[in-house]
Amino acid sequence: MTSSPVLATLLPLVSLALLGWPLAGVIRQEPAQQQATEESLEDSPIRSADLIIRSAHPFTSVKVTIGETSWTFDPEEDLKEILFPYSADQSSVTLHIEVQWPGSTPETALLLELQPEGLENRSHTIWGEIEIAEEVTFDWNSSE
Amino acid sequence: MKTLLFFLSTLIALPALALDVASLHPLITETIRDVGGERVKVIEIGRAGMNVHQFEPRTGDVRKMAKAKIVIASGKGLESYLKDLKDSLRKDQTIVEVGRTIPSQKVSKKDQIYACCPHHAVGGIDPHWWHNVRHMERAVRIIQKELTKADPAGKAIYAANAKAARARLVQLDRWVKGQVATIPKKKRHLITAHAAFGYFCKAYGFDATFVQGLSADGEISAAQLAKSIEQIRSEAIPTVFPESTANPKTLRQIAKHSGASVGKPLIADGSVKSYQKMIQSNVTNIVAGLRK
Repeated sequence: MTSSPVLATLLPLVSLALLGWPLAGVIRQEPAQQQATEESLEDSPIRSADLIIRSAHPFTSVKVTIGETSWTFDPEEDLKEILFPYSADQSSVTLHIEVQWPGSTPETALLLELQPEGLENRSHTIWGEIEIAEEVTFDWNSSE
Repeated sequence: MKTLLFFLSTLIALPALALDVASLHPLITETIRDVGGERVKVIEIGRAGMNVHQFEPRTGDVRKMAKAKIVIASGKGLESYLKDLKDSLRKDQTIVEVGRTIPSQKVSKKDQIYACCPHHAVGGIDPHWWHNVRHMERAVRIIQKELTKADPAGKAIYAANAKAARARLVQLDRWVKGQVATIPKKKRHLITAHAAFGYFCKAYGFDATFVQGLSADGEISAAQLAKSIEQIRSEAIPTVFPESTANPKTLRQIAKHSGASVGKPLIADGSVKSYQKMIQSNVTNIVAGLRK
């Protein structure tokens, strides 16, 4: 008895489909996630940064304001993750800093450092006692 | 018996603590361990002693990486195989390039002589960001954020470990600055074969001359050789520095004709187990060579 041509064609096709089913999953597998490129970072109007403080003496509070947004450091904190507006045309950011130390603290120093993604670190040291407010502009236009 | 059953059921109920993370560079391995502590299991793909400029993962390495939730690379084009690797990994795996958000030093077309090797001159970005200790401090934070993202329950542990690691790096950076300060300013000129020390020179106030050309055979043109010799003579630079993994032939030639001595080798590619030891060794050798 000879098999029908339809059956003869279908049987290998069904076998192929059965073999191909698990392989399809492998072929369709989406690749691992990768971060955005350095170029896309440069185009972003918002920068993410670490704002770090190092104080010679314990402080009561440190408040840093950029535009309308403020971040307040508690005495145990030394780092905050912040976002700030940044454009390649302007290449600068102005920070308003308010520091309070306990009354018994002698004149002391507090270093404030900004580490933005893709940009060099910028830092400023504030000298004072009891309470002080300062404004500092970090600029990335000048040669680094 | 009851105690044993209770113990066993507690063990079964405990979630697996280890987060599997693959590392493609030895310095990254050390940093992941520093930040992750016992909560993270590091799958070492790039091991100390490897040639970071020529390494490519083999099939066995890709198989090992299958367990990892995150694959961490040094970045800035050092791992030129990343695109292919991405296609070999699953969608739920993340590739992190630590160097991506660390400020780059670009190599201009004019300065291509300053690139470490032909391959890494292509993008114009120097990949050796780790020679600035403050950049390694950033790397700690980047790794802390990625581990926390993958394992939020470990947030406090990663934060505490990262804080301690950053404090050690701040100390190391101060030590480097203190050591460099002992070299007279006019002598702070680092002459090496390849351009692996651009970040170091910029961070710690050195002029830099990297004499090796871009040709694949590592040869240098007679004009460039003469220029380097003249520069060393005119600036009375006492020492030129070979690299531990590079042929010192050209530098010896330059030293011989310029009257400079050949210093102890510097570690350029970070293919070591201890970052702190690498920095200390490099700085100690530079200071010894230039303070003469």
